[in-house]
Amino acid sequence: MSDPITLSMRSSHLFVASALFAALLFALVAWTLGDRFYLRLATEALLFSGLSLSVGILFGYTGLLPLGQALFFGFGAYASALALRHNPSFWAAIFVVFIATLALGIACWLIAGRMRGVYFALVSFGLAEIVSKAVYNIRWLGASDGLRGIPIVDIPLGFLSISTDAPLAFFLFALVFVGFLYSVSAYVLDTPLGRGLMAMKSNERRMRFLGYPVFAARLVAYVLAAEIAALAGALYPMLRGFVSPDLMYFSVSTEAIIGVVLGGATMLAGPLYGAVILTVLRSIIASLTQYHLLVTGLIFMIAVIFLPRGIIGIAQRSGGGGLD
Amino acid sequence: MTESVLDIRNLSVSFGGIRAVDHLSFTVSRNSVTALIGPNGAGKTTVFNLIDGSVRADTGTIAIEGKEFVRPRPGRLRAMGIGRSFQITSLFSGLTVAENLRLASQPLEQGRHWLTPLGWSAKTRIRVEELLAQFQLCGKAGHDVDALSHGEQRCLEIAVALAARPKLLMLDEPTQGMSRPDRAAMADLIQALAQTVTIVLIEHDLELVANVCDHVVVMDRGRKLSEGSANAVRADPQVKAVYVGRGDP
Repeated sequence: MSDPITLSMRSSHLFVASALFAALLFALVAWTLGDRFYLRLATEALLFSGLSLSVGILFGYTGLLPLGQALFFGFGAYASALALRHNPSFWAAIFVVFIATLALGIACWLIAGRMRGVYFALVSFGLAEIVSKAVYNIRWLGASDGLRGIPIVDIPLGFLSISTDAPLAFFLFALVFVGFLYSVSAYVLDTPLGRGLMAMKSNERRMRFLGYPVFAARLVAYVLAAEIAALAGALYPMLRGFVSPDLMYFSVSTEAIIGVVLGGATMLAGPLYGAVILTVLRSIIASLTQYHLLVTGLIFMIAVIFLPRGIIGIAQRSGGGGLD
Repeated sequence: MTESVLDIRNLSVSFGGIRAVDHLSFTVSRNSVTALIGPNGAGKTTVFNLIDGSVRADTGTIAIEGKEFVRPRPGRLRAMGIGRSFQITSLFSGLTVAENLRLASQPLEQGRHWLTPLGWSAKTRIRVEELLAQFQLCGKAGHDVDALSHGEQRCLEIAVALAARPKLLMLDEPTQGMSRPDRAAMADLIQALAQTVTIVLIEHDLELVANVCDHVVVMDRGRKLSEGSANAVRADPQVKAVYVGRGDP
């Protein structure tokens, strides 16, 4: 039985496949021209799209708006940086980030999990502020300077090895990595658990009466979103060679939310599109004017007023449906 | 002696200075249809809220099939074998009719296949198809619940409560806001359901109560005013006084 939600998920996969094709075309052009700058920028945009994807999962599927999701992105970046400095192994760093985020995600949910609406938003904001301020003041985490000197590592993939210092190869790896995070999210959200989350968003009380473990189901969604943000963040120090506390700041969290609004929260692919467009625009505008945040704010307002279903929504008008 | 499914003893609850339910006792026999009737503010919905654990009783006990619960929790209702529909339609907005029923039927699955792809569970699919046929919603399976008529939404409301095969079905004003033909269809449906499940309902339509209910409990200001068959309570002068007034100057 193909219902509108299944059709929406299929449309989302088509949007992601189209984006993948466009990214490969971009990589080909960049490789032909010998570009490094735009490949690095595009890789960064992909990593921030992972953060927006995590916000999209929470907002679109559970109705929870996190104002501090950058906490997990920054946490993943720091955990990865520390792991790489201790042992320059890519997979060991990813494993450390995964386990540490699992613990942090559960701990944060125990604090924020019983909140709803604006209270959840404020608690998530508060958690990110506390952790970022703590990191800012801890000397062995580099304090305000952050952690520098993250070693360049090779990513062993069995049949080949990719250096994090090779812009084209690392871009393609980041593309596959974010594609994997999207696939895992799409799979989970298209199971009975995903439908249960949507039903809880619509009518939490009734779901309790039907015997669903609302708290536990939302915990799974929250930890999934935390893992996606953290794993995307784990690649950040490999790309930039450093991490700093501002990765956890409110501005990063709000940009992720703007990415979701711009791309469209009604489809899982929306946040990916929104974040990539926003990161590229921000970089271009920042090179032209110091008032780039004003432009970002303007983009947000235009998206809210004229694109309530985001960029994806424009394409949806002529195609499939989406979540409301 | 008829076996009881629900046994309420001496149940009381107050909200501030108002006694919403006052030492209420009644028993619901297996495979019967029992109506809770009374004027607005009599405490009928509060009794449902006490049974499902939404409200905690000050005194009294609630027993389901002989097992007493101090305060049943809403999350344990299904395990206790209770299904409940609501006075104000409470469906999963934005989802289809079939999806609403699938969600409600899923607890039937052993081990709850949370992370298996959708559509793999034959047990759930069969139950959804049964309910669609039973409630004459087959043609609406793929429709968004918000696009249904009020009557169809009320039917779906009951189907959702019935999906996990409860032993006791509590229906809060099932015909609320329905037209006369829809109410007649609902009466037929309740009679058909009573073959397999014990029903307690709150209802204002006394004609429907007389037609479908085996037992009637009349409440007024939190207290039980009268109890018995529909004809017996209709003949009770106290009930007449509550419903049509005492005729006092």
